[in-house]
Amino acid sequence: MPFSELQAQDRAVGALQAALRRGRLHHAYLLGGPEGVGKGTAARLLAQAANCEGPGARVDGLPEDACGECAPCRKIARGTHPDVFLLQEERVMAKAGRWEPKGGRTPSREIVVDQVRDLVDHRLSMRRFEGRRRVVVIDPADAMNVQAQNALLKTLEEPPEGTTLVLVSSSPDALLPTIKSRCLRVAFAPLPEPIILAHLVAAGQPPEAARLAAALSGGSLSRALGLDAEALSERRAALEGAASLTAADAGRWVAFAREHGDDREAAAGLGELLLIWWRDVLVAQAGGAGLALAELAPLTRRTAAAITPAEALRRRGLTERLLGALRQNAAAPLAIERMLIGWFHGR
Amino acid sequence: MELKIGSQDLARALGRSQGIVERKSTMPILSHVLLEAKKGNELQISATDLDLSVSSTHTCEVAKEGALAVSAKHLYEIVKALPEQTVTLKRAGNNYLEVKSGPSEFRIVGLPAEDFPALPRFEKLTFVDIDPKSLLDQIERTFFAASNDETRYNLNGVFFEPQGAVLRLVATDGHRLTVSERPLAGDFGLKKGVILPKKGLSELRKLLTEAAEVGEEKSTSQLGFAENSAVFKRPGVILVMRLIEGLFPDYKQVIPKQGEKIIKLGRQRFLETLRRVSLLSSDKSHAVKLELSAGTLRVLSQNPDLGDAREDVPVEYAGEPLKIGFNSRYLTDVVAALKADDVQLELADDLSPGVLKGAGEPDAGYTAVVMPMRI
Repeated sequence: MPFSELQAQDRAVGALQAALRRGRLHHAYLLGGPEGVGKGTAARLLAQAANCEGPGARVDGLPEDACGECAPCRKIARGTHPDVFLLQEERVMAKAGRWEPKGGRTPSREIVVDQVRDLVDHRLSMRRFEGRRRVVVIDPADAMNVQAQNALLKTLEEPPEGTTLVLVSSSPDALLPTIKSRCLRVAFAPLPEPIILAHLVAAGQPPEAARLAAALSGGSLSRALGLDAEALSERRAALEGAASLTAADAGRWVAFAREHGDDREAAAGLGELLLIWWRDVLVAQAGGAGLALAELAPLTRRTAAAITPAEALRRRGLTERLLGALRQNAAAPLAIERMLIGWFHGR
Repeated sequence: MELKIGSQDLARALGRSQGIVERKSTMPILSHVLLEAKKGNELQISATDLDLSVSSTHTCEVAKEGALAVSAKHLYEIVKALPEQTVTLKRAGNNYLEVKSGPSEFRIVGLPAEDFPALPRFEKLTFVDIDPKSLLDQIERTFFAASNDETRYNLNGVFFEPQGAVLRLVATDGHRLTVSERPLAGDFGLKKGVILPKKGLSELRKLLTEAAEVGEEKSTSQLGFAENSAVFKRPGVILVMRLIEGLFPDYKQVIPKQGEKIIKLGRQRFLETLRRVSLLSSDKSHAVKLELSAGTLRVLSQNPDLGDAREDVPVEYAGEPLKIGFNSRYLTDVVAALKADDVQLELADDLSPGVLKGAGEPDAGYTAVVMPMRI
């Protein structure tokens, strides 16, 4: 399965393939961009291409593309290659039986320092097993807590010979500056709506629902696929509700927070949509076209005209904090309320 | 794959792999053994935890060649409990393994052989014949000084440095260092030294001990190095261990030039004295103090909670007096590893490292350096 399975990421893919062609992979990549646009796939393809033994093999440099047929390619795709590691949230890895938390602790939803130490002290302390290049994929990299990130710094700066670390993150700016500065950043763009629409229709969704999902997906295929029609219209309504709240009516904020704080998942979904919407607001302020949420264009433009770009950025930051709080078990109604107070009463 | 083999032979072969397969594995395939039925009526059984791989070859009747990976533990338990002398192993559809012996039949879920990590290819490696006893001796005399601190992984093993016709083994944990040199009958073709992990060396020691006990011909045990691993071969067994990444420190700087104060004393007596006196040294530091004067070495230990101990040992020494502290463990490890009747201890002053050597032929080429303690 070659790089062509990634759609509309020509720039990112081009950068990776150019490095492969020269046979000079950087030692640390940070693949950043919205959720569900192919960052994880790109990381896997990079590992495959660097270890591919298919017909694309070259004498000078690495194959530009993975064949997907040879033994290393298939092993990497199945996750059984001994030189390709995938580091995920502790809970995910524990569930898959690839990790056991120390001392019988309940697995965390973060990537914890023990996992990073195990990687650095055990897995990377030995030479490669069979591959040409060892690849460590950390996905999502922003799940690493601060201690874990600090434990990774030394390795990230100077990994053992023949090793590439690939950090995958949908919020790369949440990483420590020391991590970011040690990585070569490769930006992934949101997918254009028509591509998502085509995927959804191909996956058998009715065209009308597919169109709405594509519009609300904010350029993320995985989010578009995860949205069912009913949840979709509910979330859209919630977003519209949040976007039309005003500073004047504090009673409505509280009601809004209570109404949408019932369900954590839905609250997080709303937060993610809000992030996309704030992006749209900023796009509108900068005079750009191509809003991700075209349906809300009038509301977006009205907000864009009412506040300064700095203010929009600030409110977007508060929305990010909401998502962070929800990930860390905050009470959803309170977290939403706090965000709204920040929006309208913050400085 | 289809083959017939003696139940006991198979059980013994699988028993060897039990220690290698990972129990809590990060990759399910690592809890499996790879069975390969090959031409020439051979069954090859391989197990790996990625750091260490062992393959053994066994004679059997191969009806059909092929390969399959199955759970090491379950196959072993089944084969141990089989009722008949012979057993048939057959690969069925969907990677099942059929085990038949007399009236009993088992079907075990397996994994495709392609999933099993590929062991390094070593057809082209340069192998050097080694004397199992000599290498075993070298490993045992250096091994104990290797570090257990996981964060300093480049010290978690023994450094193999072949230089011309000499094989040099070095281990250190930052507080002590052991070096052993022996002649070597060949060239590994290594450009620089490599670090062999402790875990792999423990397994290698087992194989070397077996080889030494059997008293095999010298040429049957061979060692070679691939890009990333060390390969040890004996008839029927191949051990592959992954090398440790990283650079070994420049140990030559640590070994002092000939010390000014050279003390010679009886090895056995010194060892016993150290063991006795250290009974009262602190549990943490195991410190003992050596007070050297002409003709006598006084060994002291002191522990405010317990009391103190001292013992005088006669030595061959006529120089200036000196007081120096050491971790008694570090001294006893080395003195116990020596073989000659007398130990030679070289000191400079109370803060410079001590050098221990055996004074005699059996310890030729062996040097240990121990850092002193302030007490």
